[in-house]
Amino acid sequence: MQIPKSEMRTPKPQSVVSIQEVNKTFNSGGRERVSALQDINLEVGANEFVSLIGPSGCGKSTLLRLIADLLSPTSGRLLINGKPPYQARLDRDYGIVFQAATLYEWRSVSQNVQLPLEIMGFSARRRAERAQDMLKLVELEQFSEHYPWQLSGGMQQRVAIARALAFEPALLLMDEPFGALDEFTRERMNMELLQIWGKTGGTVIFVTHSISEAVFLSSRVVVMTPRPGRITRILDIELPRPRSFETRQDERFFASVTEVRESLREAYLG
Amino acid sequence: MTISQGTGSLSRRVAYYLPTALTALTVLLAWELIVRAFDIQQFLIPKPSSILSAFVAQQPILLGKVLTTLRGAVGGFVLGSSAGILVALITARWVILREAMLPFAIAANSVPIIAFSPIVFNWFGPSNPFSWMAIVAVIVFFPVMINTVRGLTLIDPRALELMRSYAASDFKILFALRIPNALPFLFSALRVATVLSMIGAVVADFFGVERATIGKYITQESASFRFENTWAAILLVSVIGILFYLLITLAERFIMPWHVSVRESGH
Amino acid sequence: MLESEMVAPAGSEFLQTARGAWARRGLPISLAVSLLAIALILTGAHFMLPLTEPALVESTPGQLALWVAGRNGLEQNSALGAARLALGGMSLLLAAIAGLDLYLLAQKGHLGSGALLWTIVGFDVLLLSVPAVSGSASYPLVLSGLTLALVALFLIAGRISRTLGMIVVISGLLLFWEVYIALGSATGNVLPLTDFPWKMPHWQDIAEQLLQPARRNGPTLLVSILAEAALFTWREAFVGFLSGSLLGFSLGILFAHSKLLERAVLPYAIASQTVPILAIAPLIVSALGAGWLPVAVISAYLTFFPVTINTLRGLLSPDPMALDLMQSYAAPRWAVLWKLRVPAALPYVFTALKVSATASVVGAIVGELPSSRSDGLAAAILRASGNYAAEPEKLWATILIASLLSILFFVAMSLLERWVMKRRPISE
Repeated sequence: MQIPKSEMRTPKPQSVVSIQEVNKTFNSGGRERVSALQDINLEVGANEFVSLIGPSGCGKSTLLRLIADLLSPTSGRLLINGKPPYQARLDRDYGIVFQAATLYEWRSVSQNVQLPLEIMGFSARRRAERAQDMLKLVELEQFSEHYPWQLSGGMQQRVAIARALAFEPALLLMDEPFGALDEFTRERMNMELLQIWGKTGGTVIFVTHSISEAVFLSSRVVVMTPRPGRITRILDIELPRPRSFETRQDERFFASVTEVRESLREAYLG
Repeated sequence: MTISQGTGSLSRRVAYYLPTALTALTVLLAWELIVRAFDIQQFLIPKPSSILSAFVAQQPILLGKVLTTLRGAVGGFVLGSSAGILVALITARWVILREAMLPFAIAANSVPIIAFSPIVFNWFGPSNPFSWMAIVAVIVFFPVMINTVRGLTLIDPRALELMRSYAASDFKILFALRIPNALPFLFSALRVATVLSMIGAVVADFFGVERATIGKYITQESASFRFENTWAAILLVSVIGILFYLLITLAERFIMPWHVSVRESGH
Repeated sequence: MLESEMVAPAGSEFLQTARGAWARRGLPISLAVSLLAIALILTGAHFMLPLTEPALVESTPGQLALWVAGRNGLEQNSALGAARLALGGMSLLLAAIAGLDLYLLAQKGHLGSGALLWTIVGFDVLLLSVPAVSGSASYPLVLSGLTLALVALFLIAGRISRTLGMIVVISGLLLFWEVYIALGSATGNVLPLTDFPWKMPHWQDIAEQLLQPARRNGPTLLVSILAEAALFTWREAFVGFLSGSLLGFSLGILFAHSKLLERAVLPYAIASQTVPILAIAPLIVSALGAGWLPVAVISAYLTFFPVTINTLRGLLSPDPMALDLMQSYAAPRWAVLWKLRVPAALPYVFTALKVSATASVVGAIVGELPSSRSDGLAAAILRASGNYAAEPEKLWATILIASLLSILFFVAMSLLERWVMKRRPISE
């Protein structure tokens, strides 16, 4: 099911992320060409929580990296806050969280959170203050002088989130941040993420392969399928906010989950 | 992976080192007894007690001669390691150079010191302490350089992506990521370098003109068939090498308290 | 994949600017034209050399031709004529390559690493053939040609193969050496190491020495004498290498299976490496007599330790889960060893074997010293170093051959590694 192109030609003025006719092919070694993404069109508005979901190889992580200017598109146009990704990166318009916390083992928790602030030239006092504020936000302030190896996986990810938010970007990019955690921790982290987002605001683009996670967190779910990577469907999630553990028992939750699952199946069979 | 605390660990520590100590004691005792019992000609390998008494008796002479050698070893260690680190920083920047240096480094590493020493002494003078340092520096340079390059470049790609997402300059990436990442690699090379320095300095002794060196002492005592003195001198060199090694390990503990190998118990 | 993607944008940004455009097109073409010009001048100059000119007589082909003529009773002049042809021919070939470079550059806008490689190699060969005699323009021309070729390399980035990289480093060092000598004499011999000519000989002299008889008008060239000595030493080194590696490997297996033995014996294995081998070599020779045995023993002494340490690390490297799997099959210990641990240890073992290959050669040379085995490399080194002030090039030539031996042994190990581990990633 294609999004009508007429809607996509001019980016809406309030779009934080505008992706138009983007294609990405990799040619590893020159002989094989892998079409990772084909004809991607997507608009993300301010303060939206959008999930990208799909099976392995559908290009969701690639798309996130294109937005982050960690990769360049083969063709098409991306605009972040009306700027090309390169400029958005230089202006530090976004924060990114990976699947692995990627904390630097030689820095304490607080120093890890201060890393982007150091690079951006904040003074030592302001850095320390901001780091403490962020750690309070993720409820880890008493661990500020600990080292990463002393924390559990979930705690390390929270530090990574604190670090990503340290310089208050309006856009947060998350690449399967809770993928390495067990289900219970993951559900708890989902709740915490929503609470943090509730306090900070801003736009979130979240990559996952868990249908329930995508539905629980987002206002819109973008379903992608592989070979070639493309957007099959975009679903609006009509669940009220703030969401809670009870939301997972809601009928509408199940309905949305089923819708997403059906879209994924269709792409495989249809 | 807990940090040991309290006295319970003391007995554990002793138990850990016991086999090491026991082997030494057993071997030394057996050696001593066999030589005594069978009254074996103590030609090339005198019994431990003779070596020990020679070691004690010759202390002033040994220590006097070893200082020159030690000066060369330490000076060369510092020179070679600094050069190695500097070149590593440069080649880490330009990938072309790095790819090319590696096989060449291996080649240069295999030039026998004994071939190189006469040239060095010819260049700088046979009594010049700098000649020793140059020889040791050459031996130490390549392990340090190669390991540092490894540490500067073998980085988790995601840690690099993170830096890129912060639009960090290459300079910032070097200081905040590459250098801390390289420290463990550097120290493992430095530990090897300590031992190489002592060996290199003693080899240099053989080719120098300076008589007050431990290398010359070893040759002259061997030539006079006073082998217990030879072995006493060798023992001293070995002990100094090990102490130097332990010094660096201590420095490592101090500089990198966060590293895996340091934080695990029992070291 | 990602790393290379990330590196590309930064470089291409420079090339987008106008200045970048000039660097992209104009500069390489002018460099290629200069290279062609130099090669053509050299060709002309060489073909027109009078037979008595020192630039011809002192050149490497010249000296070699004179020796051949002397041995076979041929006329000196015809020999020199042949040498002149050789020099001219080499320059002509280089000019052809330079011409090809220019053509490719004009056609495609970039040069492959192959073309650059041959250009640089061509200049290197000339550097080793053309003598640095005063009044001859060829020598400075060759130096400038090599410099330009290396500069061209840096501007025309793109994929640089490992071989090209090695050639570049070697050429760079050769160039730096020669330029330093030139600078030395230009500044009145005040620069360090330039006060006496025998401290830093020209590389052409060293190459020439190799292609000269070891004794005046003697029957054999130095290079063949040295090659024989190298072979002689290598045989001893190989025995040492084989036994040392076997010992190291066995010790590694032993330590992997018994923590007790490891703690009891390994520290002494480590301590053994702190003893300067040169000190105990005479003792070993006295004990074992003056044959190849003590040499092999010393060689083994330097070989076993890296192999032990790396084998141990490699044997202990398998994932605990892989070990649990073996246990679930009720696999006996030897099966776990040969089917899991040893294959896992192979990359580590090969790293150690490569290091030990070079160490065994060093050990053999050290072992030969006290036993004064006159046919080996150690004796050759001693002879050459005794004569250093008079003929410094001989010592450099000897060191070169000795290093070459180690490198070849190292390369042999690398090839073995590649063959044994066909589908696995190769350690560095």
